[in-house]
Amino acid sequence: MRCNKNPAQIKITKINKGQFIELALCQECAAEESPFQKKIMEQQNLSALLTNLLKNKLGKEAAGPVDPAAEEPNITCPTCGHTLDELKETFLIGCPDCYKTFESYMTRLLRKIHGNIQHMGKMPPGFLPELEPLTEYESSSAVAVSAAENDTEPGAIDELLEDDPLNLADDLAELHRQLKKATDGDDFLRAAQIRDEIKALEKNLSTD
Amino acid sequence: MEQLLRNTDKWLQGSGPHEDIVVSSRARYARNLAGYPFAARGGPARLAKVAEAIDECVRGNAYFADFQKIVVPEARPLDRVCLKESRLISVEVEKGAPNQVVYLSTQMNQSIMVNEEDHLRVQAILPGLQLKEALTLADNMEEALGQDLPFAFSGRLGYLTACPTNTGTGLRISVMLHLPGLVIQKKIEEILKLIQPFGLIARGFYGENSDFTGDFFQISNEVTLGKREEEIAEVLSHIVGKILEQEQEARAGLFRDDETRLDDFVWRSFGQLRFARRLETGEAMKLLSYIRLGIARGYFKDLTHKQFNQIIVAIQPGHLQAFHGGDLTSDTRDAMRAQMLRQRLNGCVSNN
Repeated sequence: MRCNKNPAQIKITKINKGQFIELALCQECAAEESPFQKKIMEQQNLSALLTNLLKNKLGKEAAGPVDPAAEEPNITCPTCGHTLDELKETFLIGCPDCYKTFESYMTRLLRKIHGNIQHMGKMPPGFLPELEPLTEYESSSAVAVSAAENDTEPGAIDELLEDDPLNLADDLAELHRQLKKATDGDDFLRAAQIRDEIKALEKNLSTD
Repeated sequence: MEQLLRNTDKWLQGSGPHEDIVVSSRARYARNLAGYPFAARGGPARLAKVAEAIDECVRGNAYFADFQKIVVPEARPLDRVCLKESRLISVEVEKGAPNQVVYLSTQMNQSIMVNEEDHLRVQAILPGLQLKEALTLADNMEEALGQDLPFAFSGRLGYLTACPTNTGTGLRISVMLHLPGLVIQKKIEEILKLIQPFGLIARGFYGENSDFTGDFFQISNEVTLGKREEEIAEVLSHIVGKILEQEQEARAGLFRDDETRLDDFVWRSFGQLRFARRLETGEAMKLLSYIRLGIARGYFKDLTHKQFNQIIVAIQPGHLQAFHGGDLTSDTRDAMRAQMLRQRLNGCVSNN
């Protein structure tokens, strides 16, 4: 021991004037003694730092919702039999349908890992995005928007109706009726399309 | 197979820009077949069907006409180790499991892994800084396969993969950098923290959970969803460019400001490599790190940066054993490694 502070963890053998000398040193003294040991330590510290950064990040993801009481139940994927607990443990998904089965957990997890969870990259040849039904997540936000627009307090629409020479307001009202019908009937794809049309029409009205 | 063992680092025989700092550039896509469970949940019968469907596609496509097929459970363990050390297959496939297959291009720079964590992993690897070229090769392979195979895909979430860290583009693009200058200047931690906000991550020479042995750093994208493939490649390219500049400055600066000390490190390391009788892989790589700096200074003739990059692979345990024709104990390997390096560095000193 040299510093008499830290416990000896590393043994270094030196040759001095033809004689072997064994030194039992702590990590820090060893680093001072040998440039090799110093480099090893630096690298270990570095990778430990990175591992911790990663673990903290992933740990927060895996912790799930902020309120533990709101933990989702351990559901099972009907297609492949994978359970939510297994997913959380292994960080592996069982089959493509698991993405739908464990949707709320997956959505949170993917958002934490990637940030933006709308795919912007390549698509398989012949894939038609319009034909794909909205997921529950997407449809719930469509419902939220349409619910807000159906509020009865005097809103933008009433104001717009006051100066509307082209009767676009009639179209707008009709669209809102259709929107309600679509969301009531769970036709969220149609609802999203109508929403877009409403937005475009309101923009037209407001710039007149 | 004999042929195979000696050729697994064929791609390293090519040249690429900045090979004094960038050892290699790699692009890999992960894909799964629609309607089948992923590797973790797929029983042997279903994974066999996956392998069959992929095989039919590969055999029927002119793009893969010259690709060699390796049935992993039938391959010799030594072959698998060499393939892994040459970065053509992952540790998962090196371990080997039923229904795993690998297809390799003749240039050994393109590989298709079947039934790794995902049904399909297509990868292209090139020497030096050639990110766009590697991405193009990977794109070509992916498109050729995608013509006939239905991939599990969601318009919202992109390509569906076994691990959520790959969902979306399924693209992992990376470079292997050698940064002894920045390590000596103790600037590495800064650099590594700098790359995080760009969705990039650094790993050691041996991949996940490995140390930064020999001052090698693999920088890759962490984010695969929400960005286009070209964007991901551009961000990595841009950041790598910055790190390159820093390393070049570090190497020049070290010798400018402290020539004697650096020379001492280089020549001491050279001395050990020229005369040691036993060298472990990690130790050899640490010593070789200084040799890189020596090459950059022109101290060695008959030893180029490209050859250096080849040596790093040649001293890995699998390659050593393959070179000597069979399994060796750890002690024998360490002795052979030292011998290989003694011979290789003999007569290397430049007369300038």
